[in-house]
Amino acid sequence: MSGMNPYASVEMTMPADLHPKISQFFGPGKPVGRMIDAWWLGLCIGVKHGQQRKRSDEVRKFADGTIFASDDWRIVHLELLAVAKKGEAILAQPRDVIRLASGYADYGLEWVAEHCLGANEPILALLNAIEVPAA
Amino acid sequence: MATTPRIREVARVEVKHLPLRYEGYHEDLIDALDEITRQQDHMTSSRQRQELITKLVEKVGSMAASLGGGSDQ
Amino acid sequence: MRIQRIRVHNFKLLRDIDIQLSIDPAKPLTVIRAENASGKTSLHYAIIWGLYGMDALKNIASPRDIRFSSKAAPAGSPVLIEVVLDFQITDEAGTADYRLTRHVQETPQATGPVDRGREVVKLSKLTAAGDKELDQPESWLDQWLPKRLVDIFFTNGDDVQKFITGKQEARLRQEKVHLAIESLLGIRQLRTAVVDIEAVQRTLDRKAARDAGGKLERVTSELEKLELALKEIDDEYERLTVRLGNIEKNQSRKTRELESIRGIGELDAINQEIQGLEQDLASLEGYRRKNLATMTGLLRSEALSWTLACGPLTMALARLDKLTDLRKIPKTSTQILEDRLELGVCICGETLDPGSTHRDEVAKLLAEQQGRDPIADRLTDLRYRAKALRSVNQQDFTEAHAEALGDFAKLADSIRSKTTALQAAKERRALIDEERVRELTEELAELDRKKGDVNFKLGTLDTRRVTVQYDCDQKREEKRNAERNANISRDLAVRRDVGLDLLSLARAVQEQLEGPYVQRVSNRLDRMFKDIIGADNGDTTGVITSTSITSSFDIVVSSQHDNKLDPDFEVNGASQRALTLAFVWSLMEVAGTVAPRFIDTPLGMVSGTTKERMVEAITRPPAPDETPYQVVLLLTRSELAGVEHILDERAGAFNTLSSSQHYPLDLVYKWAEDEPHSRSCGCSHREQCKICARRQDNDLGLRFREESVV
Repeated sequence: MSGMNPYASVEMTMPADLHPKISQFFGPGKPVGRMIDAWWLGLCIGVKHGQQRKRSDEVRKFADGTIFASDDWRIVHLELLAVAKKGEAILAQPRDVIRLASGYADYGLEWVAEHCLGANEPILALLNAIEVPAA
Repeated sequence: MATTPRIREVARVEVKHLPLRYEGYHEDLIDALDEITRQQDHMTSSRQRQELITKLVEKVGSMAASLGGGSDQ
Repeated sequence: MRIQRIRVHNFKLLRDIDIQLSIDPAKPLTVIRAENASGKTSLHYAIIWGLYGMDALKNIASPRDIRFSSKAAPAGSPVLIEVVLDFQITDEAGTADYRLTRHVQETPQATGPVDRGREVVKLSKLTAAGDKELDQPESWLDQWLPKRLVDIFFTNGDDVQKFITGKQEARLRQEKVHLAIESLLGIRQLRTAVVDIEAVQRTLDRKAARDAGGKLERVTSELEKLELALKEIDDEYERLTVRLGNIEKNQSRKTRELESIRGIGELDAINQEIQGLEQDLASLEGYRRKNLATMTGLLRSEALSWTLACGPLTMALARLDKLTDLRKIPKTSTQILEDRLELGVCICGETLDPGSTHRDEVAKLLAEQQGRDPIADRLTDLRYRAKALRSVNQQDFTEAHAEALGDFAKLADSIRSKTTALQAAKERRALIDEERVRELTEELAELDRKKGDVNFKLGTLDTRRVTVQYDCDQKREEKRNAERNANISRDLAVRRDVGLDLLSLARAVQEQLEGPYVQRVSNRLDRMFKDIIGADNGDTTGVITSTSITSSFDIVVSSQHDNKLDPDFEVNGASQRALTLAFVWSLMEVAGTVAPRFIDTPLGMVSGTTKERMVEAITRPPAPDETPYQVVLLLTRSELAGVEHILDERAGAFNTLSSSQHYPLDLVYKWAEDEPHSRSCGCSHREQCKICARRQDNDLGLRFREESVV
């Protein structure tokens, strides 16, 4: 089954209001990374804070699931997270997995946008804001 | 009394380096110098001042000639 | 000269003033208390007019415009203006009293200038046997109190300040200082005397030579020429030396300016520094970019994901392990079974050849597994891959995170300090005025050339002088021989010797006064100035450490590290006054000049402890071996404030001047006469009376004097 990406056909979206903010910092030629990296960081933050944002009606696609092919550890993390939160059955519905993750990511993206906006070095601002366990 | 009392005062010291051509010669020299400096303000022309000096030198000189031992030569 | 009494009649608003001054050496001070517009300036002018007449007032106003009589005096009625000064003169013969009277009649006209009569001046010696009038009073007065020094003896606070300074060219500024030193010490008179005696001496020489006949006359004339040439060389030498001094002064000023520009640093060195800093910054910027890239990598890393989502991920893994234990998901992954069948070797090592029982077993197991719930397959797959990822260590992320942030902070620090250094270097570079450096360098080179020229000329003069001096000596010898052989009258020879003695004496005295005596003035000035200024001389550029008088009679003020201060711009008003007063006091003491020191409003710009110290210093009674003096201070009530205790002790006479025009605003009592005028009373700074009482006087705690009559 390795190499197979059940999420390839799923659209990756984020709230339309956050997209322009995030795309100032993430995306082709931007300093911090790709849009998917912002989304993934948002997801991690949402999970870490245990917070989800109610999915907005207005969303904007920024990629499709094929993007996971480049970092397939993300599929593992995504599914482990889904299993932990919703049980094993969710794995049969890749869209549900993404929807669940997007809830966390939407929360986290807002956090990301907040920390990037107005920062001289957004990447530094983000890394500084992330709470890391003591070394 | 002149406003420049120091001329006499210094002259009294300095005159001791000069020969004593007759008793009272030094005092006469000091008086002559005092007179020369005091009369300056009233004598605007150098001719006038030099006449005064000539007169004073003649006066002291004749004293030296009559009382003293004569010239250095 | 010490003035005992001043009487003024009808001079401006001073209708009838009678002021007694202290001549007691133990109490040298006379206080004249007077508010502004009470007649202080009129009194000042009245005294100067009384002493020297109209001539001395010429620099104040043109005689045509001067009107002595009160403006209130009616046109057509003549007014007699009179000043009477009683004074004492002490000399080797003892002390004598004199009276100087000057009067003039003025008839105010309806329009135009007043009609003024001839001034009449009378000087009398007052003796027990009666008054003896002296001829040529002006000559006597000029002997006692030379007119050219009038602004040393009679001055006001502002002029005191301008005496040394005055925002003009240094040469002009110190002209008064030179005049005062040269006149009071007698240096000026001696210089003239030396020149005059030299001339007389030459005449005597010529006469002697003529008497002695042909040869001696020729030799004398030749010697005279040589001596003249020698004098010309010396004059030229002196002129060139002064010029050299000026060039050197100019050079050192320009060098200082150049050094102050160069002190910033050499341009090339700064440019190199800037280049180096820019390179450092560029490479630091490179490191920063790498550091940010590392951070970006960290931000999107699996480790970060593990770190942040650790809770749910660990929970899911545990759950998968539990499902495996419950055999909800197979322990063996279908993937492993498929791989083994393909390889033909079982995990246990047995071959799985087609047709073998073992292979059938494994194929059956695989079919079983594949036939299961697809979810179970997904979970199997998930568990299999997750296990492979679990090696990612949280600790690694924490460390990498800390390291990346630490690196960034260090880089940011380095960039900041280098940027600051770069900015500073660029600012320093901006300060270097290259054009000025070029100009100064050229000017200095030009000055060097000039200095070289002057030095060359001086060298030539030296050589010439040696030659001429040698010729002179030879000629003198020749002359002596000729004289020996000649038959000069003894009388003439003696006169010549006396003339020479007189010349030597004049020169020796001049030398003493120019050297040690001026040095004494300088030392005294420094001491007294420091006494006045004390520790709190907070001038803009630094603390004054010393004051001195140079060999060219300039007053020089120095601060730390021997920096010379410009008295005009770098010395504050109080210090300027202190400097002038200290100079006048020191000079008069060393010169032994007994003359009044009359100052109108001396404390205007001085306050606090400096004021106290100043009054203390300028009223201190002279020691028995010092020159007695007299100081008259015209002070307003505000100037008096804070120094009353010193005045109590030092003043031997008190007067107050008041003006009727100050009633009713400031004066308490109305005077009998209506016409505006000023009056004097004998009130001290502690007293008030019906003439002088002012509205603030009770608040000042002044005692009322009944005996004064309005």
